[in-house]
Amino acid sequence: MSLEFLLAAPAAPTPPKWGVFLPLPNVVFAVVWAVITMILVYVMIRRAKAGQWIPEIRKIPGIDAFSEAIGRATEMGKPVHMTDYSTSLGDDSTFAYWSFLAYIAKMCASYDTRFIVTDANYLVNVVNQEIVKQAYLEAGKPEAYVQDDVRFIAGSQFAWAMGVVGLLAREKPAAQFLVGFFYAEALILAEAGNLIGAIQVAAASSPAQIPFFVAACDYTMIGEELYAGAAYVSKDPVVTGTVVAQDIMRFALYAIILLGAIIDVVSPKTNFVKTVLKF
Amino acid sequence: MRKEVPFIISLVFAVWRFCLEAFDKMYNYKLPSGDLLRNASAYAMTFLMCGAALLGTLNLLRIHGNNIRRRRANWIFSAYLLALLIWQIAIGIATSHTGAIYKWPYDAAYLPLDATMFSLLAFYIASAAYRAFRVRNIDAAVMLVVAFLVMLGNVPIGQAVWGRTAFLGGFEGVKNWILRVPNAAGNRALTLGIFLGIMATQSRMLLGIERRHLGQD
Repeated sequence: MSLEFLLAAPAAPTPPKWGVFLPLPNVVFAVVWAVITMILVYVMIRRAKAGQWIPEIRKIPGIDAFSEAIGRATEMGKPVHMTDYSTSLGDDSTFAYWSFLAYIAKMCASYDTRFIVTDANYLVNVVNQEIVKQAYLEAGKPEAYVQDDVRFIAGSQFAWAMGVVGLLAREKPAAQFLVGFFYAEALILAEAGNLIGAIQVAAASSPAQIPFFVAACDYTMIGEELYAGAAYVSKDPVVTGTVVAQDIMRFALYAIILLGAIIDVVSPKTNFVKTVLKF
Repeated sequence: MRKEVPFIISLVFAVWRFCLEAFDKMYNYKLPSGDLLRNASAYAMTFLMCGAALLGTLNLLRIHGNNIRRRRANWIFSAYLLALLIWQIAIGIATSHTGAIYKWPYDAAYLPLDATMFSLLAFYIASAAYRAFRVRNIDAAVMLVVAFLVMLGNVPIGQAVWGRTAFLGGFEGVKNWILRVPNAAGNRALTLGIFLGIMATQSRMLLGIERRHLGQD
């Protein structure tokens, strides 16, 4: 048999790890981490629903800004505006957005302040209408709910941004809430709000846009504060339990990172943390 | 039933799709119904998006129709919007979505407007920076200094004043260090938190605990 024939033969396939997992780095650790997260989320939600003790969520400084902004709008007799672009029904930021939406809608309903919600997704808009209607019902003012104030603007990014900017220029809300995940339109909306003198509160989970919100908005809740804030305002045991589970997983991750960093400095060749993470 | 049926449907399809992808990748085994599921998923998504687009169109028709009917301020723009909407729908149905007359408003009007909005960002950044970089407290002062260093590291005048072959690599070296070390650390911490939030929310949806998208009780 010639050597060229041996070289042309395909390599034997890499066997799966533990017979089940793909032979790629980090796969086993990722699966184990995901399973532990799911179990922890389930346990914490069950405990929260049963009224058992779970760690409390500290007050996020930006939460006070919500009532301050709505109070200002009520005194000035101007509406409150809330928006998000990147919500779709399966997104994590959408669920956090809905918690804030219900909270703000209920506050606006109790203060008799007009509340305008704009959206760029047809399906989310339908859910928004239900949430706002429910909030007005819970505040005891179902007749004050105006369906036209929860509106779909446009599906594409800048068409929606233009529509919102136009609405801001016409309606001149005294308070604007930018909650969720944003792209390039973030600064356009924030600056348009500044031009009309609105007090602006942003709660964004898009790392690239957070600096723009910090520069342009009065209060900004960054990254995970979106989810923690949603849990704090809604007091919903599902959301609260989830945030507690997230926090526990975060502490575990910090401990792993710290341990791995220390071992890497002291004895890099025997860094078992790296081996476990890459398995 | 209003909440249970959608949940059961989504659970069945999620598990089916998971098995399909998992068995294919892990064992190189294609489920017999794999292609059927992929095609059915694609058709279902297309059908859903069409239904959703119809909802959005009806929403626009209702809101702007009310504006026109009640002659609210600037109702003429609502009429303009509805006229364009109906025109595009009619042309799309009468000709095709690839025809020149259908594409012309998009190419001649929408794309330039899109580019215009994007270009406005440059001016908005300048006005936001002018407002943000004021030395009101220690945090703002640090942000101002760091922004100044990064800006000088990006422009030719910075390299002319303090070049990359000088001590610390000049402004460019300082800028690179700022972006690679403290900025990257902050970004990664943010991303870590967001990632954990995403994982936890997706876990809720997988476990069927999250049902707010199915409506209120």
